[in-house]
Amino acid sequence: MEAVKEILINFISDEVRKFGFKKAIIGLSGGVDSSVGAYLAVEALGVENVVGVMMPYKTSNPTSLEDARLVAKNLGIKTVLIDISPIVDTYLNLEKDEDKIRRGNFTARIRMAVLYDISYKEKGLIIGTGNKTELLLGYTTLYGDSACAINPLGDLYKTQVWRLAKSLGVPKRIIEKPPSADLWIGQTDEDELGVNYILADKILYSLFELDLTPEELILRGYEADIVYKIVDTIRRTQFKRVEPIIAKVSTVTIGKELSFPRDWGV
Amino acid sequence: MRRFKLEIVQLKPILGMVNENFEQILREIDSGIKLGADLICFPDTALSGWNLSSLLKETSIDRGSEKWEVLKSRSKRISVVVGFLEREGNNYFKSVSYLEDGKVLSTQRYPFVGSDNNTARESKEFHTKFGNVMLISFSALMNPKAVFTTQEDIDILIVPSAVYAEGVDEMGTHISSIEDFELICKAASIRFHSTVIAVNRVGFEDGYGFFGASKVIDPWGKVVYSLPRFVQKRVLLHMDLDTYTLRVEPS
Repeated sequence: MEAVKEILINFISDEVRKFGFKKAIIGLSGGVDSSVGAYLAVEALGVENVVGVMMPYKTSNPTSLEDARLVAKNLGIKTVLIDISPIVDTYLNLEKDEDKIRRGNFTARIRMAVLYDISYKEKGLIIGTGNKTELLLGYTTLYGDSACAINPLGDLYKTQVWRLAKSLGVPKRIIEKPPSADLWIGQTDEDELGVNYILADKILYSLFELDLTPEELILRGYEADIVYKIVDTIRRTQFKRVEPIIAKVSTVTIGKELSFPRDWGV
Repeated sequence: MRRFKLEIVQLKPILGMVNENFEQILREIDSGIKLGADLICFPDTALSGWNLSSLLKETSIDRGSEKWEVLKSRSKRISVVVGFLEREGNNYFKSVSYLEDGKVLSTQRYPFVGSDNNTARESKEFHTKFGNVMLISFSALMNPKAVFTTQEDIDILIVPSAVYAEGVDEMGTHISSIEDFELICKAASIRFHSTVIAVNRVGFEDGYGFFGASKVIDPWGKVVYSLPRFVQKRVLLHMDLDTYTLRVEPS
């Protein structure tokens, strides 16, 4: 993973500094993705320039906060702890609904709002930590956990992030625990996705990096139901991976004929 | 001139800012002149940046431009290799040129994606102060349709490059483009039995990470000098084409 590490460290360093910032802000969940983001950011910007923001909700698993603290302690970074329970509950008490997806999305968006506020206060850029598997399967909350300034992990599958975590020295217990968005008690990514990450990554890698068709994957022994479920999930969640659609009325439309690079002039 | 001073500039252009990049290039050229360099090589798309999208008009230059005349004028004092976005009518090209003694000795042009024109895929050698030179951008070297026409032996193959890191394998242990860059340049040195000067840019543009690692390779495919990855850097090398040796001038 040395070359990947080198690319991502240089990416963070270059992208943060060229916009005139020194600091990175990372939402530390105690999971492997945000831990990897923090380890990379420290290597890129120095320990004094990384702020870990921990935002537990009252139903969050206590080990999530413990693991986030462990990462911060190991790295020696500054932390900010914001209990988001009163913020979230103020709204949820008005809008009583047991729909856990709705509640989970709202919680994720409150974390985003807090993170952006701290980003302004600390004058730092938010480092996103969504991986390629999550992004492709749409396992993110739009304008929630997927919101960020730059994302070093978005082109790595979950299983590659695990390998990277190992090579960076992320604590074993964080790498080995079942991945969870921790938006409600007992939630795990793999239960929700209906497929484990190792299998999902094999299928996604074969579809996109090896350019195989679903039919070719099935011929290679993958279960048709799972392959088609993954392909369908990618299709259904495409809206999460693109900017909002602009209705075309002119001849030169933003995002279509008119497309300026993000890094223009920096 | 079989012995000469070569300056490699592993540049980090600013995306879409042709005036700023031009000033940076001029500063490097003037510094090279002061240091006594005979030949200075910049990467592909050094003047414009790479990920241009809708910035073609703003970042392209044509052959009649003042900038071009300034570069030609500087080349009376130092030979210059530079990559830029070239405009000709409504067509845009990613071009690399070799300038010497106030003249353009060679230009390799490759149509910018979306441009109508689809010409100029042929590379030929040309005579310079330093022997026979062939100029091929790395993307052209990788183009399966590229044609190389050589009448005489080539002493130096100059490869201005804008190669970014991509192609991580499943295990995360290899990045194919970094390995390919060295491999293809080595193969070219053997294929043409010539010294290869491969100048790759650095910097990130919208997530594309240009990794540098510019290098000089001898005619037997051995890397005799390499700049570090991802770092903007320049180096002055004393080249000897008779002994195929080089010496790094301390900075």
